[in-house]
Amino acid sequence: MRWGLVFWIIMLGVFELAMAQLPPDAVAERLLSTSIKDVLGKEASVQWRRVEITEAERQQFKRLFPEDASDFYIGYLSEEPPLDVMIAHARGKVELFVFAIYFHAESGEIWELDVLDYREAYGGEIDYKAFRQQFKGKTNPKEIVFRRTIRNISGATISARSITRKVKEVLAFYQYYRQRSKESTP
Amino acid sequence: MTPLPPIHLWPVQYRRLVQVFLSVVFIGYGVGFGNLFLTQQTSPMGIATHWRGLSEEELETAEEIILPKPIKELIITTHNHLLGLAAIFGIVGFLFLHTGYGSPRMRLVVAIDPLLSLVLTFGAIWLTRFFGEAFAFLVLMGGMLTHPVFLFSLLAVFLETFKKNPS
Repeated sequence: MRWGLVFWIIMLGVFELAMAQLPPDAVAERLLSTSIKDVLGKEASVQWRRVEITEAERQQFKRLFPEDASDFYIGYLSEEPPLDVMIAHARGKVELFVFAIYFHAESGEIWELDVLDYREAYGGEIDYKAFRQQFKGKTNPKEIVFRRTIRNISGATISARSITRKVKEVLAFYQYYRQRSKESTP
Repeated sequence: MTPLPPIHLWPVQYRRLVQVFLSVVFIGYGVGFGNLFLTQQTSPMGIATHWRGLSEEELETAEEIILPKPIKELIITTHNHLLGLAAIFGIVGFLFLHTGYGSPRMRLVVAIDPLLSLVLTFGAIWLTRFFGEAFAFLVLMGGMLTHPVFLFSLLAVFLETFKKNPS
């Protein structure tokens, strides 16, 4: 699993501009299980779904998916509350960091944001509750505007801006995905 | 052991090198000071906020979030400052020992003071971060013991390099 993480970090360094959404095996299992425990207050297993995307959808969300992407991964936690989870990455000052976004599966709002792996010496404050909780309850990506609805962190501006932008993109995609799922359900 | 001659007796090339070195150090030091003012680390309150973050009440209304510095950031900041500044203070202190100011003992005190104060300052920063904002006064005191003495020695060495060599 460790080598898997190293592989993905290298790959992400190469394809960073084109890729932000990550498959579950890109993250060490330990990091994700710790995150789930923090969010739910107990251990829970994630059921991962692989969902196909069309070329038009990939183009629409091209900041999230690499050029050859034809699918993405979304996790489901059958708990109380039921949560969907997506893993993504963004760049700090130099290095990439990985984070998970939990959505309330029924309302579609952001339930929690958790930084899974942050390697830089500076900017680690983005994983502090005071910053993360600003995203809670957001359902519309337009509600996420750096320095307006999301306050900056003094001394961690680059990482704060970067994660804000990426959360906005992931939220936009998640809402699109929910709509698509509804429409395809008879 | 034969001591080095005073700086004003050094060959002119050596003195030019020292002048350029001190000028660069002075610019770098000025930028560092600018950063201290920008991040409001020039008062005990500002120092405490910078390292400890805002209180929960202040966080609710603050335009910009200031959070306690993560330990990783404290470690790297301490590491960078102690190594970088110790090298600069050591070199300038060494040069100051070769000026004609005051007695040899006084020169030794001036040369060593910034190094010891540096340890005091960063020790106090850790204490401020983890034990209480009262230690911010110690950080400020450390700064007051470091900077004026260092700037004095820097200026003294700089002027010494312009003295005419009698020979």
